[in-house]
Amino acid sequence: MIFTSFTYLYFLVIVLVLYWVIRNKFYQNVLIFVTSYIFYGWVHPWFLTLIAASTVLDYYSARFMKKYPDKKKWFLYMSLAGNLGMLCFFKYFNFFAENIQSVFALMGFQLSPFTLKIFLPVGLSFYTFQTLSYTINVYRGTLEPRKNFIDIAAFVSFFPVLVAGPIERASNLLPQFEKERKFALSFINIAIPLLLRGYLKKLVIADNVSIFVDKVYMLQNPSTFLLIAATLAFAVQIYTDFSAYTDIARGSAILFGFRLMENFKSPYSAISPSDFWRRWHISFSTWIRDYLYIPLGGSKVKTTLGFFLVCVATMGISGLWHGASWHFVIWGIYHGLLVFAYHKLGMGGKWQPKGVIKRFIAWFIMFTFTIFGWMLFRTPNMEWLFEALKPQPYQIEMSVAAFQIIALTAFFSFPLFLIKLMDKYAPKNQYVHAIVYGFIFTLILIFFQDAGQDFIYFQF
Amino acid sequence: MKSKNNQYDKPKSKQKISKKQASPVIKETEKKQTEIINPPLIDEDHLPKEYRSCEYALPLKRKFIFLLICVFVFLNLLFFPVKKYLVDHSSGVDFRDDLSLTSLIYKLRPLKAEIALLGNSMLGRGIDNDLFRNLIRNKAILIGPGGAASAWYFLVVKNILSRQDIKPKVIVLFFRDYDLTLPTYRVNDNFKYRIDLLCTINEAVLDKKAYLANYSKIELGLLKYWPLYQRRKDFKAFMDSTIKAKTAKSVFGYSKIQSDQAIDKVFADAKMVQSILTKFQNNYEEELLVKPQNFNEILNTTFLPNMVQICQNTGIQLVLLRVKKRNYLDPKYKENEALTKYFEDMKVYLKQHEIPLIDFSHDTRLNESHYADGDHLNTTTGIKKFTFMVAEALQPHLTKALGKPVMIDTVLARQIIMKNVE
Repeated sequence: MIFTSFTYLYFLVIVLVLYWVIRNKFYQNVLIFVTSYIFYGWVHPWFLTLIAASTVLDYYSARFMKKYPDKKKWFLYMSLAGNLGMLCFFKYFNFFAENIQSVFALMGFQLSPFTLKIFLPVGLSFYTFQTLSYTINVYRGTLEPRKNFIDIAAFVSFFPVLVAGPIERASNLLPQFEKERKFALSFINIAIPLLLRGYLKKLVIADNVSIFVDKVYMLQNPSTFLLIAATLAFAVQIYTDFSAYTDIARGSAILFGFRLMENFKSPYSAISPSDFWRRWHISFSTWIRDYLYIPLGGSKVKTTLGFFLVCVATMGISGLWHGASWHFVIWGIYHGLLVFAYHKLGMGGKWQPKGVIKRFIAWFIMFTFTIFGWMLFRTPNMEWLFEALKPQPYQIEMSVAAFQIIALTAFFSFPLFLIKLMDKYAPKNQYVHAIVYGFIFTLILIFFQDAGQDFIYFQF
Repeated sequence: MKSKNNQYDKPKSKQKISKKQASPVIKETEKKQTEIINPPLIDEDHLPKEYRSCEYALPLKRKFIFLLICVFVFLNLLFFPVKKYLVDHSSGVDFRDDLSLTSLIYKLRPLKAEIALLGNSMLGRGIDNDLFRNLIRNKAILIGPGGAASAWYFLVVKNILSRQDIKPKVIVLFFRDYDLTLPTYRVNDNFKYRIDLLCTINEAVLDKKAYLANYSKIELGLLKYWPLYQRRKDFKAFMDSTIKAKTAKSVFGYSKIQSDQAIDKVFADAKMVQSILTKFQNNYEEELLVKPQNFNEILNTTFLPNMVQICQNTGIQLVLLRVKKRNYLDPKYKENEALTKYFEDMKVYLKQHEIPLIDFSHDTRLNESHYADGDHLNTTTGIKKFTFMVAEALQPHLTKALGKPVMIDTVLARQIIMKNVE
C-alpha cells in the first residue's frame, strides 16, 4: 500500500476514526499493531513473518539481557545476528555470491552459480535498524527492556515509518507508545501542512522530474552537459521523493498523537560533508554515527590511517545499506573520503567559514561534490558512468535536451521554492498561507494519479 | 496535564526535571495573537530538538479557511467550461476531419476488394499480399500496420470497412493469444495519434472501453462534472510542451518542430542501452500480454462483441485467425491451463455467432527457419509458407462467404512447395 494511493487515504481515515474512538492506550496500541500488519502485508502477506520474527527476537533478547546481565553480550549478538542475518540474506545474498564467484574466477577457479531468486521485502532495511536501536540501547543501559509485548510490536511495526523511515530510536518513540494520548485539534493544524507538502513533493515534483532523469540514464552516450542536467534533476528528485515520504509519515503520525523526527534539513545548503550528513536522512546518519562510527572510534581515532579506515568503512557500509550494488558502495566510500579529507583540512565537524564569500565558495564546492556523488548513486553501473564521462563530440540536440531538463526541473520545483519563501518571510501570515496552500492543493489534484510511482527509498 | 512517571524513565537523579507542565502553552506574540505551540501530551524538554514543535502549523481559523476556499475556487474557474467529450481525440484533427476519414474510405473504394485482412505486424510481416491474391484469385486488401491493437481494429471495422460503398464480404482478423481482449493495449502515448486519426467526433464505445475502463465511479463522476479534473492531462501536456518549446526558442532559436525533432533524435530507441530498454518494455508487455484472462468475464469490456455486431449488421463474415508465436516452437513449451480455457470459451462464443476460428498456434509446418525477429516471419521462406497456409485454410470459408467457389491456384501452390518452403 503506497502513501499516494486512494487506498492509503481510506485506510488512514478508517484507522484514525477507530483509534480516537477507542481512547484506551493499550487498545490503541493493539489497533496500531494490527493495522500496521495489515498495511505491511497488503501485497505480500509473507513479509509479516520477517517483521514478526524480528520483533519477537528483540523483545526476548532485551528481556533476557535484564534477566541475565552477565550474559547480555550474547543476547545482543543474538539480536544482531538475527536482524543483520535477515538483512544480509534477503538483500545481499546474491550480491555476495556473484562477487565470490568473480573473485574465484579471477584466481582461475570456476564456481557454478549459486544465486537464488530472492525477493527483497520492502522496508526490511528500515525496521531492522529500528529494532536494533532498542536492543543496543538496552545493552548500553540507556533504556529499560519493556515487558509489554504490544508496545514493542506497535513500535516496530508503526505503519507510517515502517517502509521508508524515519528510523526512529526506541528511546524517543517507545515512550510515546507508553503514554496516554488524547486528541487535540493542534494535531490537524500540524498534520495537514505536512501532508500537503509531502504530496506536493512526491506527486508534482518527484514523479514528473523522474521521467526525464530515467530517460537520460538509459541513454548509451549522453553528453557531459546532459548528464549534469539530469543529475541536477535527480538531486531534486531524490530529495523531494524521500522527504515527501518523511513528511507524509510525520503528518500521519501526528494525527495519532506521535511525534516523529525530522529527516531532512535543507541538505543542499550544506557547506561540508559532515554538515551534509547532519541534514540528509538524519535518522539514518545519526544511527550510523551512534552505533557504528563512534564505537569504531570516530574522530577520536589517533592515527590518520585509523581515522581514514573508520570513515571509509562507515560510509562504505552506509552505501551498501542503500543497495546491493558496487556503485552504492562506491558512493558511500566517496562520501567517506570527503569526510576524511575535510577533517584533515580542519573543515570537519561543525566548521563554519566566516564571511559571505567564503560560505558561498564552501557551499558551491560541497554542492558540486554532492552532485557528483548523485551521479555515482544513480548510474546503472560504473562502466556506463565511465563511458558517459568521456569527452564526446558536441551535439546540439543534447544541449537542447539538457536546457529543457533544467527548465522543467525549475518549473516543477517552483512550488517548493514558494513554500521556502513563505516559511522564511511570512510564517504567520494567513493570507499568504491561504494562497500558497490553495495553489498547492490545486496542483496536487492536477497531478494526482492513483497508485502512481513507488518512492525511491522503497527499494532500500 | 502532567506527564505520569513512567517506570521506564531513567532514575530521578539522572533526570532533568522540567518545571514546565505538559499542557498547552499559550504564548502572547508581538501582535497579541495567541497560538498553541506545544501539543498537550508530551513534555518536550526531554525530546531531542528534531522532535519539538513543528513550525508548519496551519492557522485553521474562519478567515483562513474562507480565503483558502476562494483561492481554490478561483483556480478552478480557470479550467472552465466543462468539456462535452471526456476523451480528447483532437490530436488527429489537423490531419483528420470528416473529409480525411472519408478520404481513407475512398482510397479503398477503387480496389472493390471482397476480402479484407486486418491485423498488426503479424499480418503485415506474415502475409505477402500479392501472393495471397494470386493464390486465391480474388482481390484482397491487407491492413496490417505494426503496433496496431484491438482498439484500432475496432475503429477500422467501424469507421472504414463497414462504411465502404462496396463493403468487403469477409474480414479476416489476425491476432495472438489475448490480443483481442485487451481494450486498453496500445491506445496511449505514441499510439493515440493513430487512434485519433480514425475517430469521428464522438466515440463513446472506444472511450468507455479503452480510456475510461480503469476509472472508478467516483473518478468518472469527477471527470464528467469537474473541469479541473477533466483538463488535468491537457494542462500537464500544455505546460510540458510550452516550457520545452520556449526554452529551445530562447536559447537556440529553435521552433517547436525543430525542438521536438531534436528530442526525438536524442531519445530514439536506438540510442538507449538496449538491455535496460528491453527490460522496461518486457516488464510492461509481459504483464499485460501474458496475464491470464477469463474470456467470459471480460468479454463485454472488450471490442470483440462490438466488431462482431458491426459485421453481422452489415453482412460481413468475420473470421478470426490465431497466429503462431515463436515460443510455441520450444518443445518444452506447454500452453497454460488459463490460456486453454480461454480459447475453449472463445470457441463457444464464436460458434454461437457463426464465426470461424483458424488456429495456427500449434501448427507444426512452421519452424525456427521461418522466423526472423520476435514473432515475425522472415521474407525468404516464412512469409511465403504462411501465406500459402492461410490461403489454404481460408479457402472453404471464403467459398461460403463469397457465395462462389474459391480455388487455390495449384500451380502457384506447387511452386511454393517445391521451393523447399516446407
